[in-house]
Amino acid sequence: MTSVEERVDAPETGEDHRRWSSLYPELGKGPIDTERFISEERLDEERKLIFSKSWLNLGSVHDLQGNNSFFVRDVALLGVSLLVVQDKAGKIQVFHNVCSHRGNKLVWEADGPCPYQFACRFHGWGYKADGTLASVPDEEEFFFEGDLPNKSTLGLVPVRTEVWNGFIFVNMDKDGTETLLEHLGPLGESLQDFPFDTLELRYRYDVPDDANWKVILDAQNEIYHLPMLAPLHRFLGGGAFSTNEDGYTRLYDFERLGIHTVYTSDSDAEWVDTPLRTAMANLHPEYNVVKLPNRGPFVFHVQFPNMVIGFLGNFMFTYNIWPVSVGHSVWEIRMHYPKAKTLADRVCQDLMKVRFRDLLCEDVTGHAALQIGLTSKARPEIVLGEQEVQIRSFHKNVDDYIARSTNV
Amino acid sequence: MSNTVEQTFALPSGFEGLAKFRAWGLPTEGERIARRLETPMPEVQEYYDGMMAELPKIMAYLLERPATNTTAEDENLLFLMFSLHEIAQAVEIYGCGEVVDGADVRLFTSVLNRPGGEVA
Repeated sequence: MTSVEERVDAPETGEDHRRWSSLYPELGKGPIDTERFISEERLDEERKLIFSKSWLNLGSVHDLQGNNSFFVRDVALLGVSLLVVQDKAGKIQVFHNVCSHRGNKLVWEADGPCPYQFACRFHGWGYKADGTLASVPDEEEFFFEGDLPNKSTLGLVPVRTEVWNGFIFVNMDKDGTETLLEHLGPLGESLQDFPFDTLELRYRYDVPDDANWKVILDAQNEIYHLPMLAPLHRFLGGGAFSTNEDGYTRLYDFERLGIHTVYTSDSDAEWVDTPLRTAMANLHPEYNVVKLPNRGPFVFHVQFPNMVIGFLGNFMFTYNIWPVSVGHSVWEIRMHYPKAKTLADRVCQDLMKVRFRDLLCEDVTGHAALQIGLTSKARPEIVLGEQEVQIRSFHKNVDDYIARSTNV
Repeated sequence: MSNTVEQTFALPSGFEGLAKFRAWGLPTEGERIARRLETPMPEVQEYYDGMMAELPKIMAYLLERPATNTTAEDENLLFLMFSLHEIAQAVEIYGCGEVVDGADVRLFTSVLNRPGGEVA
């Protein structure tokens, strides 16, 4: 992305105060309604008009164990179980994880190497990695003649699948025509050449979270709360992220990338980390070496609708925030690092993990408290400031997407 | 063969002195979190101080060790370091094992448990 100062539409240099609302006047300055976080009807709209229409990220090649392996992803909101298969040649295809015989959920394991055939536990119908129906026990008793139906039509049902930079996406709209690259738009362009393949996945957390999926995303999609929320937040709010002279965090940059967004933060030069981390920075010669081509210490992309690709120092985190019901979600968190060369590198990976994990553990309590307050309907609207422009933009993107899908 | 505790918790040569912390040499994140939550803070502080004092020597050693084909001795040293990370914020930020004003940190236990995932 281009830095805000280099953009032709940039506000005057030094015009930090309320610069984003002047750069993006279409986002407005007013409050937004709370109904969107607590209404069954709204979630129903999102299910039909967003999650059933949009490209959705299911994870990445790191969730597979290489060629000839699989993982299963159940998407509660859509009521589907999906089987993600990488065949022996490396091609990735997603299928409905459903046996064609009596409709049983086919694979019950979470992941693993592909078996000789994916065999249904009910009656043993077996499918090859390419989805074709390979074996039917006691086949002579079936009526695979003509179109009764013919056995060749009884393979696993494929789902539209595309892979971008190792990230695996599906689109449940079988009649849709938008490609993944069209969906990713300027976000995809800005990260197209990023060296994702140099990273390794080390940790994944599937955190049950008592909040609407957008409450969780919104709470992560700003740093205004850092100096206030909880002990580790307050510590990091003291300068790990850029602050002004009054101690309030300041975005370094924010950009709308089609229906996606990105914001960045720098850190204060004089900020001092904890004794352990300060010692480690002195003891590992590469601790502060920038290995990833990011434009700042903290970069946070929201990949519409429910994914985040973020960078903090030399590690990448991704979120997949899956709605389960109006007030409940699963927050999938993955942490990736440049591949460790030494055991000292492994130590640094773990150190970064614990810092980030405890920080997000503080956030979870905040999410639940937000949902309680919103659900009370004490107020019909929430108020957003200039340092929350990302949230304003996200909700406009959600509203616009629903409006477009409604009109199609 | 005698079967002393020291022999079941082998450490690389030169780090035998850390064997007194063997109870912190835990292979999984779940075990380390549990110990962080259940250990009285004076004992946590003692572990923190003991490991911090050895940090220059430990890191100098680990910088020379490749990330693959890890020996059992090196793995134990790694587990001691992971436990140091686990309790460092208890000492430096929270003043207790729990994530203060946060959720139950046991919710954050990595679900990966395979080569390439968490060392487990």
